[in-house]
Amino acid sequence: MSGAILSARGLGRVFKVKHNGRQQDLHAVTDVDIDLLPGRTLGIVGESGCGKTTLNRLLLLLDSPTTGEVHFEGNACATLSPQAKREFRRAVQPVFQNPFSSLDPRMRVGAIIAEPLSTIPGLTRKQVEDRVGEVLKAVGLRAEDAKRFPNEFSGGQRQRIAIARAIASRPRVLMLDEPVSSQDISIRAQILNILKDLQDEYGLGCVFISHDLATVRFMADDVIVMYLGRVIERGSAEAICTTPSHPYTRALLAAALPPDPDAPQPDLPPQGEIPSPLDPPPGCPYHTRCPLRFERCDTVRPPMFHAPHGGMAACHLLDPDLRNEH
Amino acid sequence: MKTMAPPLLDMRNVSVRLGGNADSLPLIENISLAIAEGETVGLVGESGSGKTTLGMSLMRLLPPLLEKGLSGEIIYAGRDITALSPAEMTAVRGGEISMILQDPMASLNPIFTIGNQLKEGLRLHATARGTLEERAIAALESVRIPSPEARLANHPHQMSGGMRQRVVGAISLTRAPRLLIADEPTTSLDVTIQYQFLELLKDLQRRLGMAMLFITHDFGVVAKMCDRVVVMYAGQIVEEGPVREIFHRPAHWYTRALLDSIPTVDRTPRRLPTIPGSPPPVAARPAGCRFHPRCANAQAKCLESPKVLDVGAGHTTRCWFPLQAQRGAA
Amino acid sequence: MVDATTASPWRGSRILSGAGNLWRSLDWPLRIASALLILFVIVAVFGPWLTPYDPLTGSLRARLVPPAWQEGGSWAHPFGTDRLGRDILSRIIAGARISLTVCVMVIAIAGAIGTAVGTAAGYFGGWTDRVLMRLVDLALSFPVILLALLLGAISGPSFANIIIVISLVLWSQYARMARGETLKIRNEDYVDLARTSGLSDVKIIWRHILPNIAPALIVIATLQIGVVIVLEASLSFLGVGVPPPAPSWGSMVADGRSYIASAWWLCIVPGSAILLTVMAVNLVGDALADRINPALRGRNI
Repeated sequence: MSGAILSARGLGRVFKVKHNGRQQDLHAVTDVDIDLLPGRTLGIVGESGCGKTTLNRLLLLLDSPTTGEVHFEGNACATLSPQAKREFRRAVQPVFQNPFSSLDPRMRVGAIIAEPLSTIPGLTRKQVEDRVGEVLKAVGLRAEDAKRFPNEFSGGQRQRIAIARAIASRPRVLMLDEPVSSQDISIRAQILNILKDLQDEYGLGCVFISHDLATVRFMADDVIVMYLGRVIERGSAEAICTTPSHPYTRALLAAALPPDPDAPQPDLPPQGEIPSPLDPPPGCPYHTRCPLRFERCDTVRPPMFHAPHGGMAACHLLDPDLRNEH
Repeated sequence: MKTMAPPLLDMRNVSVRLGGNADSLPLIENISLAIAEGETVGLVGESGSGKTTLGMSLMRLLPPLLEKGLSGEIIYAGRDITALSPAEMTAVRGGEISMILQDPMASLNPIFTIGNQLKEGLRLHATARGTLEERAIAALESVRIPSPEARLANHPHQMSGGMRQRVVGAISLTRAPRLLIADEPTTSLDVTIQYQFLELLKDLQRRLGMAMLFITHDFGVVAKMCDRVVVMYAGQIVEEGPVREIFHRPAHWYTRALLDSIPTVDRTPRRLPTIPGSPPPVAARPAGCRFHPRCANAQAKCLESPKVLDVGAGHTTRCWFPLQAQRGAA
Repeated sequence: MVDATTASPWRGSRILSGAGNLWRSLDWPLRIASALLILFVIVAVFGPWLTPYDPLTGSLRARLVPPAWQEGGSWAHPFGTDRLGRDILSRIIAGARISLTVCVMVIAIAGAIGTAVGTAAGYFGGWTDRVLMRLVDLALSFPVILLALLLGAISGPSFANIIIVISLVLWSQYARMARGETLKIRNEDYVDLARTSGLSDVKIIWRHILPNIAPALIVIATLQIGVVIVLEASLSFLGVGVPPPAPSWGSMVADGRSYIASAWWLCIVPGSAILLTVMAVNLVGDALADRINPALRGRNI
């Protein structure tokens, strides 16, 4: 899609692992297409083993794909010149889930935040200091906090420092991997608001990875749902979070417990265990847990079909040919 | 409504301090909480609220320094368990009062098989019919673990997190406890697995008629599981009441603000309402109402510690100016 | 006594009060050990100015004088004299200098090489790791005494030889430790974040890995001091260490071997010096290790 600032086509990553004494292939990510437009947020939803963390690393160029390509501003990332690579590094910044692991305990906060600026030539020390103070204030901390060490801050404050660092180089894309999952409820709202405000102010494109549909609904414009390394549904956030088509997404929605004791019982509650990515089921990867499965699901992997909500879902039930047969 | 029978568990004026002196820092202060037979009480709070300390004090599993600072009475089935010797408490714990913690590996021994650990629990409960093997399989079936016979030979690391938690559940329930204390039992599980585990707990509770104290930070879980809710903030109970009352007519400003700040799938506000600041650390709790520095309705009187006021049937709150309006009217 | 609570502009007063607090927090064995270590360093550094006699020359008229508290001894030679009439106390003091010099040089060389190899292996993984660790295994399987004897036979005992030999033994241990510590923090998010900020691998190792593994390595270095001292003493004892007449504690023990029954102090005094120093080092090193470990994670509990 033109205009996409960050995109991926047919992205795949296979890990060779030793399991039960044998060398096996772990298909962490298979055949993923992504398009991120400036100013929009793409939500990536999934649980353990769905490949969202690996996908995040591939998009950040922390890892190379086994198949497929990542494109930045139309250019293939596998063959970027050093200059273009530097530009990528400036423009695409991550925020990770664990605020205790994101900050080097031996560095002062100011140095941590200034690190993405260290590869930009021609910045004076004063300019760096000013920028550090600026972003600290933007995330609700004080400029003086730059002199302190990470262990003087709470988890929520550390996550703000991580966000300040992410925007220091004026990026164009933020990759957010479960940025609020480990925070208290009252802190989550604060950080989500900050992220939204920063996105508006800087015109950022965001990738927001989470397992919680409610948070994704709040943050994202478009959503893809991943299961065992594949995209199994995509659509607008409203569609996915209110009227999903894929039985797995419907199970996720059922499992997103609303804070309302009078909420109606979900019609398609989740069942079964998540299969190991080392041993994915044949046919439709979800068929082992799907209450709506029929014979075809066991053997044929469904391609993406058009879904009633306007997006796509990989489910045989949406196959128009099948419907015509019945 | 609830029966008028004496509560199964009655905590009266329980405090836990960081040390034995009367002026040591209190982690939780003057907690009074009652749980009736068969009732599920949700204990909600954020970091520093003291909810985990409360749970641990019930099980008498506090570290030695905090154990010295435990005061008040905890009456379980008529006996004050704060007065029990360690040996007597061990007999109660794991038997009549059982627990499930956040990390299943805190309760499971990685060296022994599941079958081994189950049977150990079953051996102590000497009533029943059937061999140990049969009863172990039945225990696994009761927590809906597929192929239970094969699973007996598994070690914990060979099972997924959700399975492990079910095994912990099975072990906890081998002695048919009357009170189950669950401290964030599903926080480390995937959401679809969490859902199934909660359904299982509900089902088991119905069948065994046991009471449950469900400690969590997740209001969705509370809404699904609990009959009554207790909200903690900075070491005190700030609100308590039936689940519908708490969610639809919260009386404390903290509860209301917290509920408002949770995103839901059906709403897309431009921004989420937030509570300014963050929960106070134990050493720096505000004087008077502990929430007043962050409260939208703080007034001069709030510098005085509020009394607990009645705001409805079985619904109390620790606030001078409880909310009257219904939530979610907008 | 400087009051730690008054606002004193002199930085030294803060250092003194900090040291005072540290002293108070130690238990008695640790206090003795620390005092011994400090004594060792002072004696080693200021040795030449402290020796009452020249450690290398003796008066044959004063051979095999027993220590002061024995019959026949005198306070002129508190620890007695050896078979060539050299004052043992002076030789002990000079020997401390030798031990300390060897320690510092070995730990510097072995530490630098070992850290570089171990960190590279741990950070880059894959083939780099495999190749480097095979090298380490090779070095670890070298029989050090044999190597020392060989080198000694080829070029005669010398200071350089002993430093080379002991470094060859120790670098591989450092490499192993450095690799282990690097592996612990390599997967921390801040390392990934340094990569996404565009830092090169070398810069990441310098800026993030080394400072975070440094505390653990310092502790290891401290514990190695004892090993070095014993190794040096052993090699000198065997005659392939520090060349005579340098008064290494090990060679002093060797010299006194044939006199154990008659002039026991020739062996026991240097032997005790070795024993006390190594024990002190180990006590302090263990305490350091205990203190360092919780701080290593850098978290707010």
